[in-house]
Amino acid sequence: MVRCEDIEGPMIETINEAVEVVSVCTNGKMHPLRLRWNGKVVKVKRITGEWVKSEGEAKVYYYSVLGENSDYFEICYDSRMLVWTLCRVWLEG
Amino acid sequence: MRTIAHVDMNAFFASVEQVFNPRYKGKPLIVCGDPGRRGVVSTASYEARKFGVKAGMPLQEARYLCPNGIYVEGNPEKYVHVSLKLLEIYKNFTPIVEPFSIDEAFLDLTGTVYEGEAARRGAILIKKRIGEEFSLTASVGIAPNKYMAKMASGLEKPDGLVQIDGEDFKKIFWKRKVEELWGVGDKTGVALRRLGIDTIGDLAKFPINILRAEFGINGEKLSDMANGNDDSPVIPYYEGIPAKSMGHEYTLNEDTDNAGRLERTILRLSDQVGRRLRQEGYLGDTVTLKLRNSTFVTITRQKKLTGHTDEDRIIFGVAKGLFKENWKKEKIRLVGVSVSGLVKRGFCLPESLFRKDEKERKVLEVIDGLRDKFGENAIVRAGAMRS
Repeated sequence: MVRCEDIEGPMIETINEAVEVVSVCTNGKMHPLRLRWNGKVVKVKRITGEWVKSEGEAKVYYYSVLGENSDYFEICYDSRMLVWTLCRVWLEG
Repeated sequence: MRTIAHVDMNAFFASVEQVFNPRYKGKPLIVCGDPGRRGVVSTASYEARKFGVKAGMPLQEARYLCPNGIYVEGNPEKYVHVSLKLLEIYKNFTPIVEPFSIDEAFLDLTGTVYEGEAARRGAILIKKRIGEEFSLTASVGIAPNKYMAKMASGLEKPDGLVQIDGEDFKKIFWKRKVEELWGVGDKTGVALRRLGIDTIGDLAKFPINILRAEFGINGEKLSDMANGNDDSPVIPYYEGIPAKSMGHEYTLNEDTDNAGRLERTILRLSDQVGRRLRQEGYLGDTVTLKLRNSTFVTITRQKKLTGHTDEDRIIFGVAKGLFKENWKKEKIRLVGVSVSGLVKRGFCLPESLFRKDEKERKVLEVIDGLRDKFGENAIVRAGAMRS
């Protein structure tokens, strides 16, 4: 039987840093393609989820994405400030 | 005969988190408030449930049972986003969809191609679409009314599909404990057992006049529930369901008997409740204060106003009064403020309009305007800020 103590603990890190993101807009939806963080360019392999948060009149668009090494990134685009932010990461290894 | 489906998303918050971050898949994931604070479990993934973690459990207990579980802060916007997308799927099967909560919905399939025997095929298609588009699973119950459909969806979890009729309901549920009825809690269960009612079947056959004498109008309702009777309609999403009450509650970082701190918490909660009432266009005439002490004893006390209101100041005044009357100086763990007796603004005018406090009303309009434009934290009452 698996004991809870044997299970690997969380490895997600909060970052909250401005990042550069290359994205395309199609059919009124934005799709992040690449992001630059820590001097490295991460190619977005898959968008696993998205949601929107309203802050007053401004909208912040959030994306959960997987990089090529299955690294997990949570990024958001603030439509008022026109900035992309890397919110959280979970890096392989 | 009607055909009603109840769709219940399985471990919704945790499942959404596992889909959004595939690293969480297969791991015991616990969605809660701020994991660094105290509070309760909102949803536990099925992997966490194996260790005994369940919704509503204090985080402290969950951490004891599952110390290496992954504790993540719930993200309401994320779940609402998925919930609205799910509604789009349901609308392909019938226009009469009632979102019952963020992760549950009733669908009236009567008169559609998925009526009667075909409902099972419809449910399979709904589950398939949910799986394909979101990698999520749902349990679906199909029955001639909402109550039986809701009970049926709980029979197979996760990823279940159960269709029942009145006879099936009796066969399946009558032998079960009365607490297994949707809507019967522990307290009602104890009261029913005092009458010698142990099973749902006992309740179904129990003389209704005695139930009425014991439980008032709820006596009849209990009998209907046990017999699987329910003629309530599925209220389509576009009609909206009028709110009965609005409230907020807050678990403090640590139990406290500091009166100032507790009053500041009540002020902040009153502010949030008033804001929500105004945003959604409601006025209420009853203020309720909830206090839970460090031994988990909870009291709720309410006071009816002389008129209707949506103003923070009035809500706070009443809640503070209830606090002073009922707080026994013991350490408090959780505080809640809610307003009930709601009516839509327009059907009733706020009490304050008849008094000379237009100034307060104007201040509220300015505060609401700032929050509409810049977000909820754009302006905060000074009295609520001190720690």
